[in-house]
Amino acid sequence: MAVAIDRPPDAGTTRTSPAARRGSARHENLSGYLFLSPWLIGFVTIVAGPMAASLYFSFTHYSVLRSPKWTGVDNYLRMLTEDPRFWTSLEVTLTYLVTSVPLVQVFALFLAAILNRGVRGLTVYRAVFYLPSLIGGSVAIAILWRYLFDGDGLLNNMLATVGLSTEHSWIGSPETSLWTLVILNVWQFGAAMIIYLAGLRQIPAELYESAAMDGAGAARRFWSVTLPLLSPVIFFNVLMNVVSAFQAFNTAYIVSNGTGGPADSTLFYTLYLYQRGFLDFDMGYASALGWGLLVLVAASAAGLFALSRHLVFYGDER
Amino acid sequence: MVAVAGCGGTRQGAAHGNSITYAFWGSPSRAKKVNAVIELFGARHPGARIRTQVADYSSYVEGLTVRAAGGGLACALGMQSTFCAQYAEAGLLRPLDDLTESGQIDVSNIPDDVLAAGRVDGVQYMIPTGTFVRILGYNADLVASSGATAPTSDMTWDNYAAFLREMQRGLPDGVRATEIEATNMFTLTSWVVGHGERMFDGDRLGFGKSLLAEWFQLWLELTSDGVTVPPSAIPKQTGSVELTPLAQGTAAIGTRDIPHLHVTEQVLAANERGTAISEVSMPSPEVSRSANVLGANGIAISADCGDVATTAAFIDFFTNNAEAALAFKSDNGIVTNVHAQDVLIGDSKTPQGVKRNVTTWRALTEARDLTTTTYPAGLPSLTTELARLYERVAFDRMSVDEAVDAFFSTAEHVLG
Repeated sequence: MAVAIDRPPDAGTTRTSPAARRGSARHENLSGYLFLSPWLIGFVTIVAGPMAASLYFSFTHYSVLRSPKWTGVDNYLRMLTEDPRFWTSLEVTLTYLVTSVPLVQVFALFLAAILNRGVRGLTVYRAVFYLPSLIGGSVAIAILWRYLFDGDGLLNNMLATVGLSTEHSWIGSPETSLWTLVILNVWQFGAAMIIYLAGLRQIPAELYESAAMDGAGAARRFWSVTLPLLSPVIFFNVLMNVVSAFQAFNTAYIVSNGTGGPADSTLFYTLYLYQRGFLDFDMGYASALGWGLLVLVAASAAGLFALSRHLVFYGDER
Repeated sequence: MVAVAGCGGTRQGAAHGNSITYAFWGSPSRAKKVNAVIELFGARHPGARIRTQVADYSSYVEGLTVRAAGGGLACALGMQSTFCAQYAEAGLLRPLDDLTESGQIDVSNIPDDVLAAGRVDGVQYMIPTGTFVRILGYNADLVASSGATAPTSDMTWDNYAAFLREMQRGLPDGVRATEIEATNMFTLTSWVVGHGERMFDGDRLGFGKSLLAEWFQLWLELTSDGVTVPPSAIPKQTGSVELTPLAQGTAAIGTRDIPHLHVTEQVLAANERGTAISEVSMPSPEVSRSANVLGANGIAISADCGDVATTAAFIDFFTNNAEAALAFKSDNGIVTNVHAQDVLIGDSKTPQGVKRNVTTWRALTEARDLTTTTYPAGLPSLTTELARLYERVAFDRMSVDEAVDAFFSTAEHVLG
C-alpha cells in the first residue's frame, strides 16, 4: 500500500544528488572542525604537547640550560629509592589529604543541612560561608594565616586573654605548621557546602515524611534517607577535593616562603616538584615527579570510582 | 654614535637595528629609575631603542631560565655573581673581555676586586654595576640599653659569641641578641673565608666537613643559651628585610647586606624600636683576614645578542655616565664606579640612605676589608639546602653530622 507523504510544494524539485549530499556533509564537518579548532589548537599546544614533552624529559637529565640527555628510567628509580624528600612530600600531601578532605565534607554537609532547614537570611549566610572559597587560596589569605598563627599572632593573643598564654608559633613549628594549612583548607568549605545544599534540595520531602511516620528519628532519617540520596553528591565533592588536595601549592608556598618548611613539614608534592624544576633546574626529575603525581591522582580517582560502586546510591538503581 | 652590528638575529632577544631589550629584576620604583637612565641614553644615542623586561627577583631568575631554554634571552641581562656561572658555563653569555679591552665598555673606574665578581674561570661575563657586602648591623639603642660594650670590627667569632651572651642578659623580654645565621649562605661564606678556607674550589666545596659542623654547633649552642630567636622564627629571616627580627626590633644584631642597613633603620624608626643601626665588620678568627664577602649585581650580554654594539654602549653608559648614576641612585647595590660614587655623595638630591651605603662601602674598600669569592653554578640550590638542613637540625629532625654529610653530598650533586 502506498503511503502518502506530505511534502512541501517544492520538495520534489530540490532533491539533492548523493554527491551533493556528501559535499554538504563534508562542508558541515569542516565547519564543525573549524568551530572546534580553537579548542583543538589549545589542547595540542597547551596540554597535549607539553605533556608529551614532559613525558620525554622525565626519561632524561635536563637542566633546562643544556640539551636533555637520555637516562632511561633513572629519574623514576631515584625518586623511589634514593630521594627521602620525595617520600616526605608524599607523606605531607597524603596527611593533608586524608585530614582535610573528610573535614571539609563534614563541615560543608553540617552547615548545608542547617541552611536547608529554611533559616531566615539564607542567601546572606550562603554568601558569607561561600566567600572563603573565593579568596581562601589567595596570596593575601596565606599571608594573613602567617599573622594569625605566628608566635606573636592573633591566635596566641586571643589565648592569652583567656589565660592560656603561649609563645608557640603554630606556623613556625614543624609539629603544627601543616595543621594550620589543613584548617585553611577546611575554612574553604563553602564551595562544597553550596553543592551539598543543592543536593539536599533535590531529596523529596515525602521520603522524610514517610520515614517520620514510620517512627524514624532525625538521626535515622539522616542515615537512611539523606546520606544514601546524597551519596552521588558526596562522591563528586570528595573526588574534586581529593584532586584539589593533591594539587595544593599556593598556601604552602606563601606560608613557607617557598621552602616547604619548617623542616619540610609543609613540603607538598607540588611544592617539591616546583623546587626541583624551577629552583634546582632539574627539569627531568621534576617531570618524573609530575608523572608520578598524575599516576597518584589517577589511582586515587580509580579507587574512589571502584568504591562508589558499593557506596554510592543512584536513584534509578535496582 | 653607536656603531651598529648588522647581524640582527631572529630570536626574541636579538636586536633589530639599534633596538635591544634589557631584562632586569626589581620593584616598580627601580623600573622607573631604569627608564630614566634609558631616556638619558636615548638622548645621547638617537635611534637606539631600549625595551625593558622587569620582574621581581625570584620570577626573574625563573623566567631567565625558561627564556634561555626557549632561546629568547634579552640582549642585556640583569645578572648576579651568585648565578652568573650557571649561565656562563652553559654558553648562554657572551664573554666581554674584548669589549672591555677595546674600551667599548670602560671599566677603568671599577676596582678590580669588584670586577672579579663578574668573572667565571677568569673570563669577564658580567659588568658589576652594584655590590652587596654582608656586614654586622646592630640596633645601637638596644645594645646600649643592655649595658654590653658595643661590638667592634676586630672581633673573633668567640668574642662575638661572648658579646651576644653578655648582651642577652641586659635585653628586655621578647628581644633576643641575634637572629639564627646558620641558615644564611653568605654568613657561612664569611665564616669559611674568615677561617682562611675557600668557600668553593672550582666546582667543589673548598672547605672540610668539620668547619660546617662547627658552624652548626655554634648556632645550636647560641640558640640553646637563649641568645638567638627561636628556630620557629627562621622563616621570618628569609622573607622581606622589613619583617626580619632585626628590623622589627626583636633582635639586636644581625648580618645584612650594606644596602639593607638603611631600610632596617627606617623600619625601626617607624616602629619606635630604635633610632640607629650601626655596623661593624664580620667576625674573623684573624684580624688581618677580612670576612666581609663581596657579591655583585651587574649586566651581561646574551650569547646570541644580535646588536652587541648597542648593548655594550648601554652597559658603558649605565656604568660610567654621571647623569645615569644620579638617575639610578645606586638602586641595586652600591654603585661600583668610583666616580659615580663621588657624584652621588656630592649631589644634594641623593637620598641619605644611599650616601650612607656608599660611605660605608668606601670605608671598607679603603681599609681593604673585603674578600672576593667566586660562585659556581648550582649555588642557589645549595643555598636552599643549607637553610633546609639547618632547620632539620634545629628541630631535632637530624643530627649535625647527618646534616653536614647531606650538605656535602648535595654540593657534589648540584655544583658545576
